[in-house]
Amino acid sequence: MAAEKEFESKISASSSLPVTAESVRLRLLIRISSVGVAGAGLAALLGWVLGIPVLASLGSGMIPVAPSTAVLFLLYGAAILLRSIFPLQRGPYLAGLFIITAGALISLMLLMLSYKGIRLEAEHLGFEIVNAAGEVPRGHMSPLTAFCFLLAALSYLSSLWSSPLRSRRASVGWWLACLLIAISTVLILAYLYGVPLLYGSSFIPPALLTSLAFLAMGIALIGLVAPRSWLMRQPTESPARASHAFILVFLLLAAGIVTAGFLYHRNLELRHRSEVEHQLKAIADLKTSEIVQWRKERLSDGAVFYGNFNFARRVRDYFEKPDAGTRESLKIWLDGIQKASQYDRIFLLDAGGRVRISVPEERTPISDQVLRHAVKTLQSKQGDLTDFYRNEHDGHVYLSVLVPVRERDDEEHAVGVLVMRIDPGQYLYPLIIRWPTPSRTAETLLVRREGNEVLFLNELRFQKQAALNLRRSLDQTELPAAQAVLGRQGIFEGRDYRGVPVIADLRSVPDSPWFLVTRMDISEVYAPLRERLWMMVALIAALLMGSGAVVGLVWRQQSTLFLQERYRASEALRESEERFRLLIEGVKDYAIFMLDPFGHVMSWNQGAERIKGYQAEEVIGRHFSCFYPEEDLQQGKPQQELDKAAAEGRFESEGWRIRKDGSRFWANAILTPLKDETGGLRGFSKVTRDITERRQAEEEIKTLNEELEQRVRERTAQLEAANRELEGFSYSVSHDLRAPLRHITGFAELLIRKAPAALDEKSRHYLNVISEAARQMGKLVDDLLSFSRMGRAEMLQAAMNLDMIVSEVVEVCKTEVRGRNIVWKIGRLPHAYGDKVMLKIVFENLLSNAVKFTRTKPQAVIEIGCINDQPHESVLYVRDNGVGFDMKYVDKLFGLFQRLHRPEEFEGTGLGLANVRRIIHRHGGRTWAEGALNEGAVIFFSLPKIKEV
Amino acid sequence: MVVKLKRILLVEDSPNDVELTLEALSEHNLANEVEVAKDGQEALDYLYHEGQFSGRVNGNPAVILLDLKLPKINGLEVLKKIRSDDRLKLIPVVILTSSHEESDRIDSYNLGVNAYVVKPVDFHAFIDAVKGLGIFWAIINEPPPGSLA
Repeated sequence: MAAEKEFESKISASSSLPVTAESVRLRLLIRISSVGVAGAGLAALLGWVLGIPVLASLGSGMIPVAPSTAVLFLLYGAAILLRSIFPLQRGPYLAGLFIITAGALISLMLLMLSYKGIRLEAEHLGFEIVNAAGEVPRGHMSPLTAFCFLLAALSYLSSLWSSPLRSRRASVGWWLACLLIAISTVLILAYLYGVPLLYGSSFIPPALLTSLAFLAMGIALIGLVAPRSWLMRQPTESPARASHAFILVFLLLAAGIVTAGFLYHRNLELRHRSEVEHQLKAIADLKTSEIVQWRKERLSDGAVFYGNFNFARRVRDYFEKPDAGTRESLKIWLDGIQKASQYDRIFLLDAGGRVRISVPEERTPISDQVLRHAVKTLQSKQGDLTDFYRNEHDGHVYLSVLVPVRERDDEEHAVGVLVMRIDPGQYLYPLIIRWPTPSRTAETLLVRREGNEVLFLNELRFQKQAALNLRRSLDQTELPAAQAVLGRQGIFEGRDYRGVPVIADLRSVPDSPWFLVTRMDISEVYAPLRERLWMMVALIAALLMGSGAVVGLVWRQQSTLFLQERYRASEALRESEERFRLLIEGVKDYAIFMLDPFGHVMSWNQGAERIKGYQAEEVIGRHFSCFYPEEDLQQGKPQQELDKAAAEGRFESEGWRIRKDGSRFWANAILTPLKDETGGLRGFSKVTRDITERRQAEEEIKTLNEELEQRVRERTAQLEAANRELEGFSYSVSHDLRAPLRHITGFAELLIRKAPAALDEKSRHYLNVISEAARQMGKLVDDLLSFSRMGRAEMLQAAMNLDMIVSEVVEVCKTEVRGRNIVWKIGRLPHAYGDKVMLKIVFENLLSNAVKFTRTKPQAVIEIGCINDQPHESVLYVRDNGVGFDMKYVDKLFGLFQRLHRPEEFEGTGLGLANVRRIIHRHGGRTWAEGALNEGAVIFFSLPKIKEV
Repeated sequence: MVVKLKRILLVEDSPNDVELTLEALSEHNLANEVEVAKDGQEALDYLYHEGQFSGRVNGNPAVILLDLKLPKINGLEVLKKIRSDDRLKLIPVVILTSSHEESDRIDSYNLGVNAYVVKPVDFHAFIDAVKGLGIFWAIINEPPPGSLA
């Protein structure tokens, strides 16, 4: 268990990639490729088990995947797949390690054995594998394949033992995988061009399926190793589109290169091929004409004898009377011809078929075929050339020119037959075999048809004793010779008597039963091309790698730029974070700290140290509930606050908090949840202020306010009481004060009325004074009550026409002052908003004053007007030309009970203007006065204007 | 022509006022048919034939001159009582008071007073006012049924 843990911790660092879209795609790539590898191995094995060779070779004539190779593919694929699916588990890790190590050892062993030339039968795994003669042995792993397995194993192991800290190993693995891909690409390209590499020698070539499987394996390994190599040290946020673009560019480049190479090669191949065909045709033409020429010469040799009657006579003479002289002369003759024309042997047959003369002398009997032919020749009238035949006595192949020996043309039976035997080995075969250019495989065949077979007439380059021995059925349609005797002309591609692919020119030899096959092995035809192909494949591979490297370099350059940019950005970020950290740490008036999502303190600033009393190192990691008093803890406040803050995005509270030393302070705290881009809760920020002093001040203010309010309430109550008293007082005044006055006047009057006789003039005067004083007091009481009422009465406000009020009041005044000379000047007055009764009292007071104080003037002028030059108020005035007043008393004018005249001059209570001022003030206006002694007075008052509707 | 005087109930606590009122009424010989109650209680006793008036046999007065400010039961209460009693509610009631107060006027009329007269301070004015009242209510006005004898 502990080991498991340790293991995990050891490799998790190297294997746990951040799950990004790219890593998911990479994983998919690895899995698909590794399944492909294992699938290739499985397919090949199935091919062997089920006897379907095409599963292992992917095409006839191509080498199949060896059973050993197939098994290794299966195992490698499984190991890579395991590593991709369970990157962190010990079992698959060990299994992969074991499999790959074993694979590496096996392939290393096979490599070494093949170097020594040893091939193990065990590689067949018990399958019956038949090897055709002259071919490379099947069912064995190619040394190149073994080498590739070794590469793959090293790459895999380097991925296993690398980590982000040891990326050099991963880079080695990456390069190994690249090499694997390069090798398999070259092999596959070669297959693609139809010219598989390493075929046609004793070196076992890798099969097509093997090459494909190695390509897949290379891709899988790159996927496996790339995240750990420098490739993946580029940031994962690197724009994926850019790297895709690079891959696309590379793929396009690669496709272009491969296509161009393919087309170029194809063109080359076609040109080369047509050259070869021309060459074959030219050679065939040449040979045919030579053969035809040769035959003509031979027949003309025969014709020489046929027309030579002299010779015929001598022959007959010799046949009839064989004497030594004739024989000798004939021999000399024939000997000359034999030597000159390089005939193998010349002999004379008599009509009975016996050899009468032979040059040179020889005991070997002549062939029966010649004899049979000779019988026909006896009737013939011209010489004839036999076909190739084998002398059954000496086993050699010959041709013979047979010439009937006649003395006359009309002679029915020839005397005998002259046989001129030709050894084809002397001239004809070399003629046929001879090739104008050096060639490894080119040759010319002369064949003829025999029944359903084709018979080879000349000795062959690759098969001894073939002349007249080698026959092939005409059913072999691939055989050029068979096609030739069947009448086919021109270029034909097929397999010759060895079964080797060849290209051949077919034609018949005129005037003969022969057919000429001029052929060359395809392998030789394409040999120069193959060299060029090697070069081209190497060139293409180099171009691919070069373009890959360039693209990769550009990509790397880009990603380096990106990295630099990122570094710069992260540096800037780091600086800004540093600034923030300093800012927050330096704040002393606020405790600013962070909590994790569960409420544990994660950071601590100086303000927090100062306010809460804890040092950072003793508080970080503790739960923030330690700042709360017991009662809050019991209510679960800390957690509630976290929940509320998380739910509402902010939580502000005030309450008691506990310092480290246990003392309390009143805090204002704002709790803010910190979320990442995905909305996940990362923690909280908490900003706390010590507002104990403020709270105390607030409490004080609160207490003061309360006291003030209490005082106001008391005062109000007192005032209300006073008001009530005042009301009661004024009621009493109005009711009770007037009653005694009435009684005084009443009884004084009654006294005067009832006892006029008893009273002298003086007493009557006293009684009158008493009555008058009482009346005066009654008037005073009434005015006082009125004044008091004006202060208390509710105002019934309405819009009104001041003109009308004034004219009413003026009318009343006019009736009271009948007989006086008063000039009334009444200007146009505005509308006003107010209490009609009160405003009427105003005018009553003012006008009665004006009337009163103009009494001494012979002509009184009373002017009522309005100055309408203010935006918000109308100023009204009452002007008179009466006694006026001294401006130094103007302040006293509107005072209660203030009088500027003696009662005997002008009556009055001193309440009129006070009442005016009170009413005007209640209407929101002002009062003032201007005047001069004996020159009249102007009383002004203002009223707010009615807003125009 | 002998004018049959109608009976007047004067409710007035001030003996001076009573005397002045009677004086005013007597100038037109209206004073002998005036009954005086010195407070609200007495007025009600009179009307209900109770207390010192239990032996009273005549009917309702033709008019009641009622002061507002009265001991025991004030004028408004007396008025209220009168107006809420089916037997009394038809009696004309005139408030004769020193009070100018608007509230008093409003309350009085609300309770269905027939007239409201403020006693003037001036003796002549007072005499004129009371005389007018007496003539109007005791002679000119026809009282409701049941108030005679």
